[in-house]
This record gives sequence, structure tokens and C-alpha cells, in this order.
Amino acid sequence: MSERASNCPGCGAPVRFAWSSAVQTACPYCRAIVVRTDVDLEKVGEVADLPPDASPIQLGTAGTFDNRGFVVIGCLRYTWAQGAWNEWHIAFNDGANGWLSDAQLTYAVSFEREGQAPNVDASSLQPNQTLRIDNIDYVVTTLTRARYTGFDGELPFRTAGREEMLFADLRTTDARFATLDFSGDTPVLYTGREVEYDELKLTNVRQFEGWKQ
Amino acid sequence: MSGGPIVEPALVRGARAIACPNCGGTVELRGFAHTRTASCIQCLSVIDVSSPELRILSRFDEKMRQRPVVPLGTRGHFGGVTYELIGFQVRTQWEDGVAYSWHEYLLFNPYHGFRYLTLYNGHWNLVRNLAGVPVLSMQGTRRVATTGGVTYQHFQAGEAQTTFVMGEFPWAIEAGEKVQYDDLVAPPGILSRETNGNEFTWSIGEYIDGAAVWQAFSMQGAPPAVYGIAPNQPSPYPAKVRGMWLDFAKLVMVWGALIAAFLFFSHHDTLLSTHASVDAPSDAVPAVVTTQSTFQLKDNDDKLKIEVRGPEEMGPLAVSLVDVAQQHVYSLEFDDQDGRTDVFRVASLPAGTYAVRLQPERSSSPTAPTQMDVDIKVKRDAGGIGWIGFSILFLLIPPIVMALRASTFESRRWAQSSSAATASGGDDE
Repeated sequence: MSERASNCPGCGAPVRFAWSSAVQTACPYCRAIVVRTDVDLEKVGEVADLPPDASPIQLGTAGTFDNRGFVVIGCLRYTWAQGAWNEWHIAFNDGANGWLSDAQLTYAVSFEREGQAPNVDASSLQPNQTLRIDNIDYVVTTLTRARYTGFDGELPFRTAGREEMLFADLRTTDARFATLDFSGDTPVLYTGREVEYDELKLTNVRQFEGWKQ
Repeated sequence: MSGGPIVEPALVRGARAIACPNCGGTVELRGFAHTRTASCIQCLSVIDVSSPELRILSRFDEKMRQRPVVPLGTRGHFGGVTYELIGFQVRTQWEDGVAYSWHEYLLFNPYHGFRYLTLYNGHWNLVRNLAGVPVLSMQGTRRVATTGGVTYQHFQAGEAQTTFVMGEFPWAIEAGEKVQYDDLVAPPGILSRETNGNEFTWSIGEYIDGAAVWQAFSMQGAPPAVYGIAPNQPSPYPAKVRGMWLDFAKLVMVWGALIAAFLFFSHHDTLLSTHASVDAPSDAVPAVVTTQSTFQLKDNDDKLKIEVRGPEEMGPLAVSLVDVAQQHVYSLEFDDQDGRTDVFRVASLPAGTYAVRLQPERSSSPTAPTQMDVDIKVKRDAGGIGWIGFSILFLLIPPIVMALRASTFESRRWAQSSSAATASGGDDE
């Protein structure tokens, strides 16, 4: 994991990128949203306070997935009609990145499958429709319209211009799932699987008054 | 911009309370920021706690009030994880004007998430949401769903209405809201599919004993009494039937060994083995030979088998046993012939010392030998072995009775099923 330091264009404090491919981060001192351009850092706004949340995960939480260690370096919080969920941006020790999602304490780990999204149109997708991905049948379970209600830390893309997003959730007969993100020009595919809390062996989690981890 | 910390506080403060917007009563919240809906225990208002103004979603009538059998706030251990009971919901289904109600308890752990306990007629299930989507298919005339390598058979479908709510839930919940559900069973497992018309949610549960629930919550007293058979209640019988067949197999083996030993020893339990020379009878003197060797009989219920083996051209012999002391002669009846051996049988002789007496009958055959050497054996008679098969029939009774009871259990289970097929669903007995 390479670490590059520059100064925050808002307050001058050093800004470190824990993950070399991060595009956007939040200055931990002045809360500026800092975007990395080819040459330097650019302040594009300020991070809003995150609404109250009760995820045990926070920036800096460490864990393992399939025997690979990771650290939580960023967060996206989404809301939709039925509630909210978190997508934690995780950086693996081997340089890869992924997402740890937490929806009402149901956890899943997924990875972007660059350039492998099926050629489908969001408007043509119907619930219960089957899509074949990696030679496995995935069934479209829900089409979710979501908004950011907050973000923090290092992210692999800029959050600006992504005010409302359309996601298609796809499930298999086992714990695997896929998400098609239709917020950009072309759909982006993420695949992963649901995981048990214990399986992640998380450390540096939040503490809840009256509870032990 | 506040300049505050960007990372949320590492410690999340515990139970908080809000004032009921209807009656002002205190509504305690245990589910941290997960709680979306909470009910006021005083006035039974259901409050949307995610709305800043604490909007009242609905209200239950006081006469709808029900009591959870485990109090809200109780903590229990399930699968090594501590959960707190934070929500209680009563769901009701009407069938032909009859209301069937069951309890659903929401369990919460801030790290491991949510689980449910359902309670109907004293039968409990520990339930969780299912990650995947089961594969639906038909097995004969019955709908089935497969997940995790297990096939669940459709048991019932219906419409359930929320008739009472207490505590808090991480989703919107309202008085009278309806869901369509399907239950599929593979005891002890149960798969449930629910829909409010938009999307399907699947959950998977496992039958859990009331006593185990009580123990998990460290509750005093006894859990609610059990009535009837639950759709996914594991049948106690297949294991018993298997056990009984195993016992049967063991008994047959022991029985067989006993019989083999019995036959072996009885075969070798020869009381007398001797030989004698018998003169051919003349007209004047009947040739009678009594063996010098004798044998003892201790009691009178021994069956005896006397084998007399002579030369091929041997004429007929009359054989009797002589009680040496009493000089009683017991004539033996010819029973069987096995090659050159004549077999005689006798039973119930009194105790005593016996010799064998042989008397050749007159033979008209001119080729009859003048003297015959015969071997004599007196054995205890094992008798027939037909009774062995008969006794095995008796050993068959317990496993057959248990198998019938197992079948009855499955019939009673499936008698409650509303699914199309009514054939017995049990495959494992």
C-alpha cells in the first residue's frame, strides 16, 4: 500500500492517501472534499455531517475477507425509500480495493468488475428477470433508486454529479449477489457475496454502550 | 462547517428515550439508529422515529393489546451471540372466520444484526433473513424450494395481518398491514416467503424447543404449552424407528448366536456312543442285546434322539431303553431313517440310568446276515427350529409399531397443510 502525502487546498494540512488509486478524500482537519487531479489536489466542497448511524464499522476498521486483510478507508451512505445502507470502501493489503456493504447489519463484500457489465438497459430490467454473469444465473430482485446522504474518506471516484442513482440488485440461489450501478454513462457491475459478521474478524469497530463486541 | 470530527464517535451512546407525541409517555429505544418504528407502550401509538416530528403512523385499540411471553429488553444467547428482544408483533390470519394468531419477536445485536423468534401454539422458530433466492420447482404436485442443498416442501400459504405491535423495528410497520406469505418445510427447517405486493423477502428458520428458548433467556417457570404438531417440528420417530431397527438387528444377531450355540452344543451333547453286535434271531431264542454302556438322565424333560447305524442289509430292529435300576423297558418308536441310520425319538423319561436294548426282528430274507455290528448314539434332541422364525416375528413388533407411529406423526403434520398435495410428505422414515 503506497502512501502519498500532499497538502489540503483548504487548510494546508497534510492529506495522505492510504490507497494509491483514490480519486477523492475528505480532509480530516477542515472537512474539505479533496479531489486528486493529475497535478495536485483540488477542494470541491465540504463534507456534510453524516446522519446518525449505528453501523459498527468506521473509517480505520480492519478485517479479513477470503484470508486477505483490508482496512476501511472510505464510506458512502445511501438512502432509499425503505431505509439506508452504507458502502464502506475497503483497501486490501495487496493493493486491491472493494466494498463492504452494511444494510441493517447484513454484511456483504463486493468488487467492481471493470468492463464486464452485461449489456442491458436500466429501463428494460424487470424484477425476477434472469441475467447470466460468470456462467451463473442471477435474478433481479429489486431496482433501487438511492441518493447519497453522506460520504467520507477515500473513494475511487468523485461523488459530485451522482445525486440520484439507480441500482439493480441481483441474487443467486446461494449467498452470492451482484449489483448493477446505472448512475454513470455505462452500467458498472459489482459482484460479491454476503458474509457473516464473525467471518470478517473486524477490529477497531465502534463500541455500543451496554454491549460487548 | 463545524470543524468537528469527521469520524463518528467510536462509542455509540446506549438506550435513548423519546416522548410519545400522542400521550407524552416515555418510549424507550434500544435499537440505536436502526430503529425506524417504535410503539408507545401507554397509548399504543406507532411512531415513525426517523421523522423529525415523530409522526404517528397508526394506533392500536386498547382491546387489541397483547402481552409478549418474553418481556421487551430481555437478553438471551442464541448460537453464541447475545441478542436483546426489542420488538414484538402479533400477526393474525383469518380462515373461515377463525382467527389464527402467532407472535413474532425481534432480536437485536449491534454487531450481528437482527434475528426473529416466532411462536405459535407453543412451537418456536429461530429465524433469519436469507441471503440467496431459493429455486422454485415442482415435485410431483407439490411446490418445492431448494436452498443450501435442502429441498423444502410447500406447506401453507396465506395472508397475515399485523394485529398488534410493541417495541421497535428497523422498518416501517403499521397496524393492520398485510403480507402474503408461503411456508415451505424441511423439518426442522422452515423457509418463508413474504410479499406486500412489491418484492419478495425470504427468511429461513429452525425449530427450537420452548425449553431451549426459556434457557436462552434465563426465564423462570415454563414456556407456553405446546399444542399439536408444528409444520417443521422434527419428528421424534425416524430416529426411534432407526434405533429400533438397529436393536432388532442386534437382537437377531444375539438370537442367531444363541441358536447357533444351542444347536452346536446340543449336537455334541451325546449321552452315549457305543456299538454292539447283534445276532440274527433264531426261531427259538429272540436275540436281545443290551448295551454295557449306560447313560444318566437327570430330569424327565429331555427329549432324546437315538441313532442306530447298521450295515446296509440290516433288517429291522426294535429299540428300547432300559431303566437299569428299575428294569423298566421303554419301547421307542421308529421316527425317521437317514441313510443307514435309523432314528428313534423319545421324551419325558424319568431320571435314572439307562441302557439301550436292541432286538432284531425276524427276517425272512435268506441273505440276512447272521450278525450285525451297529453303532448306537443317544443324543439330546434339539427339536425343530421353526420356533426361531416365530420368535423373530415377535422381535419385529416394536420397530413396526414405531414406524406406524412415525407415519401417523407425518399424517398429522400434513393434515394441517393447505398445499394442494395431501400425500404424506415424510421421506425419512
